[in-house]
Amino acid sequence: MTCRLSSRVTRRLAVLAAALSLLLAALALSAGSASASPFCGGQRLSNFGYCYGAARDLSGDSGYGVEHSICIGADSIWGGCSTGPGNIKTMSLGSVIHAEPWIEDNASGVTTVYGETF
Amino acid sequence: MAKRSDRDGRAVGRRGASRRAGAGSPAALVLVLAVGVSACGTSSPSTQPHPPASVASARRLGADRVVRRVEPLQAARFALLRTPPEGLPARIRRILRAPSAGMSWALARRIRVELPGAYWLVPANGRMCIVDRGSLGNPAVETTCVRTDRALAEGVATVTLARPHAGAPRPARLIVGVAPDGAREAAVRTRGTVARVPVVDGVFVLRDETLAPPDSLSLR
Repeated sequence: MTCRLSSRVTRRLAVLAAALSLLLAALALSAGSASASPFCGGQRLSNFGYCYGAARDLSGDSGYGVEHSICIGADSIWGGCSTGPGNIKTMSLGSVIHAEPWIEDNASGVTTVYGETF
Repeated sequence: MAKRSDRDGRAVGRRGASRRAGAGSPAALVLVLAVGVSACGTSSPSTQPHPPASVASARRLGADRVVRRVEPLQAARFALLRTPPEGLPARIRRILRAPSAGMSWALARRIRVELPGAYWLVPANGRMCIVDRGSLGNPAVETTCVRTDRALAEGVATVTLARPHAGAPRPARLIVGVAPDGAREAAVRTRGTVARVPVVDGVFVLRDETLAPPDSLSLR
């Protein structure tokens, strides 16, 4: 009887330990890395204006302009420019920084921009 | 740092969706819950209407299926894509972390240019991309993806700008592009001026001091 009870408790402890391990592994995987997060979604920029997202942890960002090309970056880092409307520009840093992502309108006309950090 | 003329974009993103926190993950419920909890901290409240469906789908860069082979139209029109693939180096893959726009890293072709830095043409899902590192000394890995129909009309090009600094007192712009078969010249229009550069073996390069990306590219 005692042995059967002990065996059941042991099995439950093992299941609990496994679940806890999974939980810790998941937290370890997600900690310290930036998740995809949009910024400047649908903003209308004109005359070489800038749009900034809130400061966050990021290892890069992407963006595009609907009507014409844009440049992207984060804080003082330039991530390059697209060459036309709808072209997606991405900057990958290889390490996580805390910075404000930005998109710059690249012409005197108005364009709608979308950005995303990761 | 460039002037900040518009800060209206702060915290206007739609509800963030973590690439890591995929609902379709095969992990156990506890795993989904754990990642979901960690992703909550990166969400931002929505204050903007959602973009049109076509735009929204274009934004989900990581959601595109990775291509297994070069799309026939791309292979038919770009000589570089008919050469054996070299693939992206492991160090570049580590920085990129995940393929965007359905890029196949294994199908990347090195663009041979006499420049510092490295450039690759990478086929993607309905798009063609250039991945580059070290352009004008930029330590970031840049990726530029263009829809295939646009690539056929204007090529695929990456633009890097460098403001003057202590080591380089003059501004610099570097454009490296790949053109489809038969193109002989690329015209780069920037704020009312046009710079024409030859296409050699399907590649064009423009280096000048214009501190602005082009308004448009065209080929002939």
